[in-house]
Amino acid sequence: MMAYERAKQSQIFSSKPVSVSDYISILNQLISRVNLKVIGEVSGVKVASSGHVYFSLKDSKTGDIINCAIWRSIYNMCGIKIEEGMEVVLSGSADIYKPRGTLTFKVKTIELVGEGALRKAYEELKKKLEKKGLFDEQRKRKIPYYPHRIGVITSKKGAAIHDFINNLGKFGFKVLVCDSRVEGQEAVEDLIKSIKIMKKKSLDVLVIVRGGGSLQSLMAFDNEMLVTEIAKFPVPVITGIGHHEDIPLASLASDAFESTPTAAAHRLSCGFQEAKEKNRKYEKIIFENYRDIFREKIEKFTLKEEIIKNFFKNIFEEYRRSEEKIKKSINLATYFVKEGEKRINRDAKNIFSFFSRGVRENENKIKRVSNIIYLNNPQKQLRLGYAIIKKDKKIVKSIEEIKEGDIIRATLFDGEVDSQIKNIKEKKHDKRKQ
Amino acid sequence: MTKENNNLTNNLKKLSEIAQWFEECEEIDLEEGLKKVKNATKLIKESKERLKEIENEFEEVKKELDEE
Repeated sequence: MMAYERAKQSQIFSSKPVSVSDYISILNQLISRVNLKVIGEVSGVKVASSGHVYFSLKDSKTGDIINCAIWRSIYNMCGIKIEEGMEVVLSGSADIYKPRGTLTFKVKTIELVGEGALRKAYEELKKKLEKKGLFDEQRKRKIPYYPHRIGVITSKKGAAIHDFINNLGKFGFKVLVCDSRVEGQEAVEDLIKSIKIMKKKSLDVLVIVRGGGSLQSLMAFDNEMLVTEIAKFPVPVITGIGHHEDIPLASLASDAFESTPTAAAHRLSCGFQEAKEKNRKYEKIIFENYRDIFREKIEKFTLKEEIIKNFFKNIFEEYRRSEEKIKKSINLATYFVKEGEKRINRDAKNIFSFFSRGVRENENKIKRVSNIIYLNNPQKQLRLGYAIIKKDKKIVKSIEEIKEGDIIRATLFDGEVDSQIKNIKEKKHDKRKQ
Repeated sequence: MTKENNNLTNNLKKLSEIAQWFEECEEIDLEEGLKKVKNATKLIKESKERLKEIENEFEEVKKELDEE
C-alpha cells in the first residue's frame, strides 16, 4: 500500500508517447522502490546451469503467483535449499524483464516459515557442518588470556554492544567495532561482509555478539557461509549470541561461545581479573609467610636469648653462691687463722716463758757447773801451786805407784819438770783417817 | 599479546614460584626470604601498574562500498 501511495503521489504524465523500453524502464524505476517481504509457497523450482534459481511463489489462499529469481551468489549465501511446497518469506524487489515483458521478483533473502521448518533446516545444516568437522573441538583455538586488540561485530543500535562494553572492564583494550545487522536473514550478508573487513585488521580476537531471540530471529547465525567464515577466521572467534534451546551454528563453529554479550565480555577480561586475583593472592602468601617466618625467628631468638640469659643467670647465681661459700670459708679460715695466731701467740708466750725459764734454769745450772768446773779446774789448782805427777804418762795418785829412782814428770802451772825420786815417805796419819 | 601483557604473564609466573617457595620451604633463611620479598614487591608493583584501570580505546570500522 505504501509503495502504491508513493507511486500515486508521483504520477507521471506525458502527452508524448514513449517507447516500450522507456515505459518499462519507468515502471521498473517505480517498482524498484517497493521493498516488501512476500510470503508464499514455492513451486516450479528450476536451477539454471549458471547456478541462478528460478521458481514461482504462490499465494496459498488465492493461488495467485509471481515469478521469482535468486542469483547464485545470494542463493549460496542464504543457505536454504529451495524445494517444492516450501513456505517462505522472500525479501527483495520486482522488475520487468524487457525481452519478455514478464515481471520477476528478485530475491535478496529467503526465510523459512514456521518453527518446524526452521528446526529441520537447522538440524540438517548442523549435521552437514559436523561432517565437515567445523564443530570439532580439536580445531578450536585457545582464546588469548590477555587480549589487547578486540574486533567486535554487532549492531550499534542494539543493547548487546552496551552490555558488552559495560562488562568488558577497563584494561586498556583496543576495541574495533563493526556495525552489522544481526536480525533476520538480511543480517547474513552484512555479517559476512563485516567478517571479511575484520580479517584485514590486526586483531587478537574477534567477537560477534547479539541479544537473545527466537530461532527465526537468529536464523542468520545458522547460515552455512557465515559459519564457514567464522571457522576459518585467522584469529580466535568468540560468539555471545543469546539463544534458548538450540545453540546457533555460528556459536558451535566459533572457538568459544557464550550465551550473552555480557558473558563474552567477561570471557575476554577474565584473564586480567584472574591476574588481579592472583597478584593479590601471591602478595598475601609471600608477605604473610615472610611475616610469620620473621615472627617465628624473633620468637626463637627471644627464646634463645632467654635460655642464654637464664644460663648466665644460673652461672652468676652459682658463682654468687660459690663466692658466698668461699667468703664464708675465708672468714672461717681467717677466724681459725686468727684463733690459731692467738693460740700460737699464747702458746708461744707460754713456750717462750717455759723456754726462758728452762734457759734460765740451765743458765744457772751451767753457771753452777761452770763454777764447779772452774773450781775444779786443775789449772786453777796448778796456779795455786799444785802439780800433777805422771809416770809413764799416767797420773800418780799414790806412793805405791812409784819407787825410788823412778823418773816422774811434774806438770806445773806453766810447764813440766822431770825429776827422779830419791826418797818416799808415807803419810801415816792419813792412813788412820782412812 | 602486547609487551606489557607478556610481562604480566612472566611476572605472575615468577610470583607464583616465589609464593610456592614460601609455602613449601620448611626452613627459610631470612636473608634469602628478604631477597625474594624484595623481588616480589617489584613484580607486584609492575603487575598492579598493568592491571590498574585503563580506559579502553574504541574505533569504528567502516564498511567500504566496494567491499564484497
